[in-house]
Parts: sequence; C-alpha cells; structure tokens
Amino acid sequence: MIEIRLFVSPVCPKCPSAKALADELQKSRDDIRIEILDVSIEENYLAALMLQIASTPTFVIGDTPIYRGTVPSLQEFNEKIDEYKQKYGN
Amino acid sequence: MIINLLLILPSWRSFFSMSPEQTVDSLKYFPQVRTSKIQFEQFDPNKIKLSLIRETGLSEHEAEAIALKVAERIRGLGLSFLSAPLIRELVCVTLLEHGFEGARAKYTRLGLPVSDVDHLINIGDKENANLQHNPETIHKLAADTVFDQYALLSALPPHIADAHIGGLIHIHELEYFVTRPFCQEHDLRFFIRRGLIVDGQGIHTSIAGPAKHPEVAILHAAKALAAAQTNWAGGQGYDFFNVWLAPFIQGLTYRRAKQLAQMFIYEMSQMYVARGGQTVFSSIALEPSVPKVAEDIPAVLPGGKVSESVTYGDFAPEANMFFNAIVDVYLEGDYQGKPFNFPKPEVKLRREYVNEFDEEYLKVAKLAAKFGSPYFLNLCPDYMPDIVNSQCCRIILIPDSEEIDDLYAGRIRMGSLQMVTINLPQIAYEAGGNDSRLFELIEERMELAKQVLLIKREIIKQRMKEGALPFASMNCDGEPYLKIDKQVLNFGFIGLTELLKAHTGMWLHESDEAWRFGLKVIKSMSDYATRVSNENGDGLRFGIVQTPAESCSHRLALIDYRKYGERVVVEGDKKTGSIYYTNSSHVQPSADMPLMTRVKTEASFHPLTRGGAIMHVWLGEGSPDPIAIWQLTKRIATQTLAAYFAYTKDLTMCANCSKVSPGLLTKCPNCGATGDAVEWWSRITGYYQRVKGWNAGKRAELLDRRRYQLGAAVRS
Repeated sequence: MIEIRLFVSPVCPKCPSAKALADELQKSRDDIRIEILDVSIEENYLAALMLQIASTPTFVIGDTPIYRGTVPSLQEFNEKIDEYKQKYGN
Repeated sequence: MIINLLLILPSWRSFFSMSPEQTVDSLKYFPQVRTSKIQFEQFDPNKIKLSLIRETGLSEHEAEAIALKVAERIRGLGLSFLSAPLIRELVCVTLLEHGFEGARAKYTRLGLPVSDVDHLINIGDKENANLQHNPETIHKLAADTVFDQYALLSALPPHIADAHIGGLIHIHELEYFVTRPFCQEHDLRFFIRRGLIVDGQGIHTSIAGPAKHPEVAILHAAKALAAAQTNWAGGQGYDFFNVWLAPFIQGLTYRRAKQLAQMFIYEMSQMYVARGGQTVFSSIALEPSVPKVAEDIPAVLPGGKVSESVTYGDFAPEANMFFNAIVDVYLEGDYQGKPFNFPKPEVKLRREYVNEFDEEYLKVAKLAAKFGSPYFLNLCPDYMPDIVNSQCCRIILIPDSEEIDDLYAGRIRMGSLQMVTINLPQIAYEAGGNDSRLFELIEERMELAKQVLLIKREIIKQRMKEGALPFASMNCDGEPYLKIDKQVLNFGFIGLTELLKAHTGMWLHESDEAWRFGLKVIKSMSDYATRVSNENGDGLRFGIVQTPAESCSHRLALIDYRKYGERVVVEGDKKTGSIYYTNSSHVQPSADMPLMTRVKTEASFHPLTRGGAIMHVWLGEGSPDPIAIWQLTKRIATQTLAAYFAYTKDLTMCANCSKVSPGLLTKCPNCGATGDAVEWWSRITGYYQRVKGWNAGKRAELLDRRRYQLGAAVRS
C-alpha cells in the first residue's frame, strides 16, 4: 500500500480542489491510502515542517513532498504514483 | 529613622542655619576635596544636601540629615584631602544604612575599579570578536561598562535587571540599550536621490548633493553606512545593492565596474572607525540580475533623477555585470590575498534564478569554497515572499503591504530595534520534567523579554525627540529616517537542544519525538510573538529570531553551571569552564549525522523564526568542489525550508608570509611559521573573525563542529 498524505488548511483557496482530487484518486485505486491532514491542528503543522512543507495544499508520497501549492491533474498524479510504485514497490 | 539620625548629630544640627562666616569657620577642620572638575574645593555639606535633593528626590530634612551624618564621618577620618567620588560613596553607604535604597541607586556613581581599567588597557576584552585591542576600543570598553551599569541600574526595573543578571534572559547590546536602536536595512536609492548628510543635519559636516558619477555614488554608499553606524548598535545593510547601482554602471567596461566594486569593498573593510575602532558591520544583498519584483520600478538615475519611463528592468545587463564584478573582487581577496569579512555578501536565491544563472552561482560557490564568505538568502520556499531583506548576523525583515509600497517609492527602511534572548535550558532545569510548567515558564520569560522590548521602544522614541539620534531622526519627506513603528522587536532564544536533553532525555537530533517537541517549543514562542503583536491593535511587530549567540552562549552556560551544578546540560569542558550552549534551534555542533538530515532538521525551524535564522554547513575539505557546493545549494534551496545559510571554511592566516591556508593549522604550510604568527579564522556566528578574539565557550564550539565532505553529502 502506498501512503499518500495531503496537507491542507481551512483558509487555502486551492485546498478544496486538492481534496476533491484526493477523493477521486482514493476511489479509483486500491493500492493507495490517502490521509488528509489539516495544518491548523498543531500536530499536523509540526509534521508538515518536519517534511519541509510550509504551504498548502501539498501532496506527499512516502516522505517526499511532490506537489507544493499546486493541484495536478488526475492523470498526472496517477502517473506519478505509478512511477513511485515502479521505483519503490507498494 | 531620620529622627534617630539627627539625634546623634547634636553639634551639627544648626549647620544649615549658620551665617556665612560661621559656616566658613565650621568647615576649617574639614579636608579639601578633589572634584570631578579637576580642582580643589573646600568640603561643604550643603553641596551634598543640594545634590541629594536634586538627584534623588529626598526631602530637605532627609537630605540635611544624610549630609550631616556624612560630614561627621569625614571629620572623623582626619584626612587632609579626599575625592568627590569617595564622598559620593560615603553618602551611598549612609543612604543604605538608613534605608534609602532607591535614593542610593539614583545617587551612586557608575564606573570601573582601577584594576579593571588596567586590564582594559593592558589586555582588552574578548567578548566581541570584532574588537581589536587599540586605543579606541579601550575607550569604548570603558564607556560600555558605564552604560551596561546604567541600563541595569537606571533604565530597567530591578526585576528585569535581576532576570538578566541571573541568566533567565539576555539583553543584547546592553551598552547601547539607552542610546541606539539595533540594526537597519537602508535604501540606497534614498541617498542616490537626495545626496548625503552624514550627521543628519548638515551642521557638523558638509552636505553632498545627489551623485552624478559612479565613483561618487560608491563613496556615498560607503559613507552612508558609516554614518548610520554612529547611530545604530548592530548591522547596517543595503538590499538590492547591485540593482540600485546598476544605472551608474551603464556604458562602463567590466574593468571599470570591478574597480567600483573594489572601491566599495575596500571602503567598508578599511574604514576602521565605527563603534570604538571597528569596521562598520555591513552587508550587501546581491542579485544575479534584476528580479521580476523590481523590473517595473522607476530607476533613480545619476544625479538623482527619476523618470517613470526608465525602470530597473532596463538595467538587467548592468546589474548582472556588477554582480559578477563584486563576486570577482571577493574571490581575489585583499592585496595579500586575505578574504574580506565585511561587507557580508548576501546572495539571493530565487526560483526564477536557480536554473538560469548557473555561471554566476558557480562563481559564488567558488567563493564559498575558497573563503566561505557568501551567505545565501533563500527565497525559494513558498513561505518566503519575493521581497525579503536580510542583514546583520541573520536578521530577516519581511515587509508589510505599506513597506512594499515603500519599495516602489524608494524609501524602504526596515530594522530590528532590540533583541532579548530567552535561556531555554534554564527553563528545563526549573520545569523538572513537567510539560505544563515548561510552557508556563517559556511564556513568563517571554513576558519579561516583552517588557524589555517595550522599554527600549520608549527610550529610542525619547532619544529621537531629544535629537540624540541625529541620523536616525533626520527629516525624510516629512517623516523621521528611522520608522520606529515599523521596527521589529525581537525575541531570541538559545539552547533548544540542551532544553530537550534536560527535559526529555533526548537531543534534538536523536529522535523524531525530540524534534517534534522542539518544534512545539519554538512554535509556542512564535505564537506568543504573534499574539502580542496583535493584542493592542497598536501594530507593534514582535518577531522570533535565532539568536546570534556570540557571548551569551558562553555566559548563560556559566551562569547555569554555577547555579544548577552538575545537572546542567552544556557543551564543552566543565573542568576548564570552556562551556557553551548550542545556538538557537541548531543541532549540537558535534552531532554526527548525515548532512541533509542535519539541514532538514535545522531548516524545519526557519518558518517559525521569521525574524531571523541561519544554518551553518561546516566544510571539512581543504579544497571543496564548487560544483558540489552549487549542487548542494540548489538542493537546499528547492527541497528544504532553509531561509538563510552559509558554508564555513576554517582558515589559517600567517602573519609571517601572509599566506592564507585552509583548515586550522598550528604551522604555516608555506613558510613553516608557528606560534603567534599563525592565526585561525572562522565564522563565529554570522560573520568571520580571528579565533583569538573568541571567548572560551566559542573556542570549544569551534573544535566540536562536525565538518562535512561535500562530495559524499551531495550523493547522500
């Protein structure tokens, strides 16, 4: 199972579309698990800093931030996951 | 109490009602006084009485009683002569004996014992590594002692003075607390447009109009910083240095541009006149081109002219050429090949630059590999805006919307008014492992620090009203040069990793739990600063800064070791007293960990310390590969949250043959000289200096530093 985290904030304008993308991805694949983390909760904010993240929305695969402050297309993200899977396995 | 005092002085009770003849007669048994006006005068209790009323606010009766008691004492000594300072000391003792502690504090003299002055003259002081031992610094250090004492005794309430003395907090630049703001970023366009009035008034010095020629612009730029240093305690910097000067470079050959760069750098590293015989603590921010954010700003042209149709974007080639010229001058070093320590070159990293200006950045990387001189201000992380000023040791100034307007209008002037450091390890010793108590204590110490910062603000406002800061208060289009309401009031901190070890049993770098808890601690401080900035709606700007702890890392460790004994968590050698706390939220200097893990750990704190931060990479190779440095720089810039960082290369300079060699050596590899002829240079906190001037704690830190081979680090 590939772990994906999405860091969001209640005041970020791009976060709703990032969350929608995460939903769509989760529904379309059974080899991933997406966790949505709200950085207005301190614990999540500190976790974001430890991953070198200071902007939302940011997607993280494993421990690597991949899209910072941007929302990719479904196709682009799927390709990214496949690439990751090929490199590191599930 | 006063009644009792009068009872023991029956023969003198009538002194103050005597006729002049009787007074003269009664004083003939008293010694002559050597006064502060360097003359002899007849002792007269009336002078004590009047001075007590004037200086302490005692009532006439109280003052008379004290004066007579002192007179009685002096008569009993049977002296022929005595000094005015001794009389004052006797008055102070008498005030204390009779419960007038507050009056004593106001009446006391400030100064130094003779042996301390002997020490200053013969040996000097090692607290500030910038200070050479010379006549100017001897005077400065003597004056510093007086003003340190004055700040603690007179400007600050006793509970705050005690907090500083007890090491709960550390008030920086105490010697300048009542006279100067801390550091300032200047807008060079202001001087290009207006010319130069170095005393702020044009009364004591001549007045220069706007520079028409490049050489004059360069000299004005240099002299403006020197002039400002007479009013400020800390660093003086220019943002966009090569960009704002680019219009003067138009039509010049590269050789001439380099000559201009040389002029400025030599001026700033040779004007040995500031703050008691030091060079100006200066910095210049450099851009490899004109950034998008400045492209459309109307340029201030030679002669101070501004035309809306000519913008800085028109001078991108000149800004680039001047950038290259400046870096080439740094690369060459001085006449003997020594590096320039000031002005500090601060090179900006922008997303729009990092893939376009490889050649320029590679040259900067060569400079880092050769001398370690450049600092990188990283605007690539999303949380960093396009306009950020940095100067001094690490202060970062982020403009608000009004100041962004100032950027377009050519009057962006920002600075930090004062910094107060919170001693974090001491809080851990006091909290006894209790989290709630730990966070309560952090807030208590920050409240103390806030009080200091607000007092400082009022003091500087008062100095400006009095005209005691003429450069800072000079008229700039109807407002004072120093925009006091925009100045940042900074909370610093020291020893996060020691706090973690004392409180959780783990160093910052030892576990994710410790790292997370460390972030929680600094976030609590950042939240406090945000809260108090907003609490009164008065627009005060409090910020968190990673303290450049030159002296306080050693001082606070010593205080705590004396107070808490063996349970303190300090670095260095307790037996010799060469102990120190780790700076700010850095991992221990000796921590043995992969470089990128170290970088990411330290960088994670930078978004929380937006008032200023620095991350050090200690180089362990004699000749590091500039390509590896540039690759690593790009990686740090684009993959981490680091806002500001530098590579430090230790150097050995030989006074015998003038050769500069890499590493910390005891023998010159060129001529074989040893002993005092061989001097170590390194970066103490935010600038390079001779190691001989460092205190014992910082010298211990230098030896502890984990140095890295960059080739392996880049591959990791």
